[in-house]
Amino acid sequence: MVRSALKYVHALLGAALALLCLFAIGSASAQPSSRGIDLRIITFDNGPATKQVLQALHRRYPALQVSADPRAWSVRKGVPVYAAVGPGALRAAIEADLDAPTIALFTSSPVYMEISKTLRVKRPAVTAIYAEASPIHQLQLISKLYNRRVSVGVLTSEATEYLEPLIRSGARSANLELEIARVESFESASRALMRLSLATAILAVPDSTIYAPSNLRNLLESTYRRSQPVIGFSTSLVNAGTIATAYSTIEDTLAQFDDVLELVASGRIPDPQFPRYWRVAVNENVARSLNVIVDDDVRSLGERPPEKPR
Amino acid sequence: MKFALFKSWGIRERLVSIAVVPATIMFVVVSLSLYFASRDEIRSDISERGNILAAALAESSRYAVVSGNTTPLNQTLHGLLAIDRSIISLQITDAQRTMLTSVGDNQTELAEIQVFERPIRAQIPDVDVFDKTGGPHIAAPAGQSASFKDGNAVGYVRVVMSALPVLEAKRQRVYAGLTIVLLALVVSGIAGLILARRLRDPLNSVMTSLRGIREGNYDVRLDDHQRGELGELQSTIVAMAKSLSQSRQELESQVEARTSALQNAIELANQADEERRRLIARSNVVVEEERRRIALEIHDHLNAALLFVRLESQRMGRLAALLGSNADAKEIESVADRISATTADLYDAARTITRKLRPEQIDTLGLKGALEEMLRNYRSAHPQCRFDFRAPTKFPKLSTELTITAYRVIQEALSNIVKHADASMAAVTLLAKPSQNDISITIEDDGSGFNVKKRVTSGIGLIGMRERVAAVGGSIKIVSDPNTGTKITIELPTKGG
Repeated sequence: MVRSALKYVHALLGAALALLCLFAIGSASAQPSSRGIDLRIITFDNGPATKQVLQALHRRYPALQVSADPRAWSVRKGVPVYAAVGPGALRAAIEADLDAPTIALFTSSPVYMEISKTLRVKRPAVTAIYAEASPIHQLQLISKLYNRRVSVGVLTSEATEYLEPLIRSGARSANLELEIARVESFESASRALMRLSLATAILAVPDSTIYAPSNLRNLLESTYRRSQPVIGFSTSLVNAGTIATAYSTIEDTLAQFDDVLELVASGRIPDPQFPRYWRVAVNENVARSLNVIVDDDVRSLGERPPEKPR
Repeated sequence: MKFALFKSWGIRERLVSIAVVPATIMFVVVSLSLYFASRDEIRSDISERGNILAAALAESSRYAVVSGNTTPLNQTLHGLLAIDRSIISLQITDAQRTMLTSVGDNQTELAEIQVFERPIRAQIPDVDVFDKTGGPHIAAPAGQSASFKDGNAVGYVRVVMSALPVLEAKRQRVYAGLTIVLLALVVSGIAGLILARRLRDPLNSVMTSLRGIREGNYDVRLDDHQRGELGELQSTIVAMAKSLSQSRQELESQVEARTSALQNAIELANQADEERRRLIARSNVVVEEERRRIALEIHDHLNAALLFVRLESQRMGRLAALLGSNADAKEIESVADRISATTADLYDAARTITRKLRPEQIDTLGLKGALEEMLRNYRSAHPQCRFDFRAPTKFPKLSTELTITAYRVIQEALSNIVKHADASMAAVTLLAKPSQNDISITIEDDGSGFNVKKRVTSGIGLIGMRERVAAVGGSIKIVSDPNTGTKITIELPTKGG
């Protein structure tokens, strides 16, 4: 009964937010260039993922310009805004010292933070919509998955220590016990994971110094042997053996990108942010193997972008 | 030769061998064939299992190698070692070949060793972990399952296996099988003996019946009547015994009739022979009597007349001489001399005929004297041959018939010697056997001899000798071969005959 009421309220809030967005940036989203925004897409490669993103962007912004070279655009048609698709494109955009704001898309927060630190962003400011879901959303998912107070272990490194305040805040909000283990540079992730052996579940953050392809299988095996479900941080990881993750689709990210673009075009540069819209992916086989019951409430968890008016 | 032993076997040995030998041969051949065929199969199986085991261990020990926690892996290795006896040792090393864990005998010197080594490779998932490289980080890529690819070797698995334990187990199974078959053979042998006994008892009764039949007992009774072929055999033997009994009775009747007829014929023959002998004896007696009478007539009348004629012719000659010397007187004297000479010759001839017809010495001197005279005449007539005569000093006087028989037989024998034998020596021996009531006469020579079987049917003289001896109830035995001389032995009974 309570759950049905929450669903109803949630749906009402979602509809109201969608209406606000439509009023705020509806015309810009529909035809951003016509309102004087010269959207320029910077890409790094021509791989399948990039093509997928570009197709989605073209559907939203038919007049956008795409180039792998940030200096390719010499003639201005309006207020220029750059969107860097992926870390390679972001790095190129920053190195090019562009005189227009840049929005980083599909770059994880640790990578964005590292690029920001190493390349010292000059003017104008750069912002981002991170590729991975917010740790807060992941912790909400864990809370919903167990429906009780459980302990969650998180491995962090120097590259992801900035997430720790956010994670702690999220754990408190989700009524979860938190145990953070720092992976030092001299030790392996497997050894560090041993320190989280009492945690009920492990939250994986996109830290490539911890979760590298070479040790990912062993980490998953280790947690599986200790019956510790791993949550995070993309659907490909779910396919590889984590139990579930909160994630954003390309359309979810681009729906948020409309809002950010509108703000940037108006001269306000928002802070880098996690995806606003998210949903849940579950590996049913892993759930069954670990005796974790995943119900429809879990599967339907998240926040969907408002319907786009035609 | 090679089946001589088998031929001497009885039913029991044959049945036991039938029950045991083919099964034994078949089992031994099959067992050995399977054993030798399975050796290669076992080696191939070891090779296959070794590769599978190494691959499985390489897969399952990855986590232990990476994490450094080898305790569970060690337990697994011990379990494998305990389960599979063909595993000699299992070793897990890290990428630098440093031993992490090892079970089994690493220093084995067993034969049939096979070593299988596999690298333990890290598995790299095809997952975007949002690293620093170029492309966009997509949190929801397409696809349902992650694929993995092999990474660098993080360690090595070394499996040492040997086919020997499996071969030994196989050999033990063959031995166990052989033992079971041996027991089965013993049981089969016992069953064969029991069956043989059950078969032998009826056959023994059959054999006993057949032996009885062989010995003439045709009253066959087989109490333990069997079914099947044995029963048919028993029935056949009983029927055969009855048939043989009837045949024997018929044959005996025929033989009895034939024997009776033969005896009658023999009796008739004997009677005829006896009559013939008597007839011959009688005819000999008659002939000898007629000879004696003719000789007496010649001696008494002819010789006397010839003697008178000779005396008269001599007186006529003397009278002619008294007439003077005229021609007529001379002619008369000459004729008288010729008549006297011719008469003398006739007288001598008559005396010779008389002697041949009936030697007067037989009547005057007896057999011994007559023979001495005969041999004297042979010595003078045939000086090229030495004639010996041996006889006891006192030779008994025999009956006239026996004396004539002995004389004529010896005369014929000596005649044959001078006519056919071309001998340089001939001997006649007389021997009296009073205790046995007969006399023995032996005539032998060193002449050319002859084939007795041929001459028996062809020599008339020999036939006459046999007939004369048989007529007085004696026996004659002739021994001769070409170039070895001849010996004739005659036994004559002095009484009876």
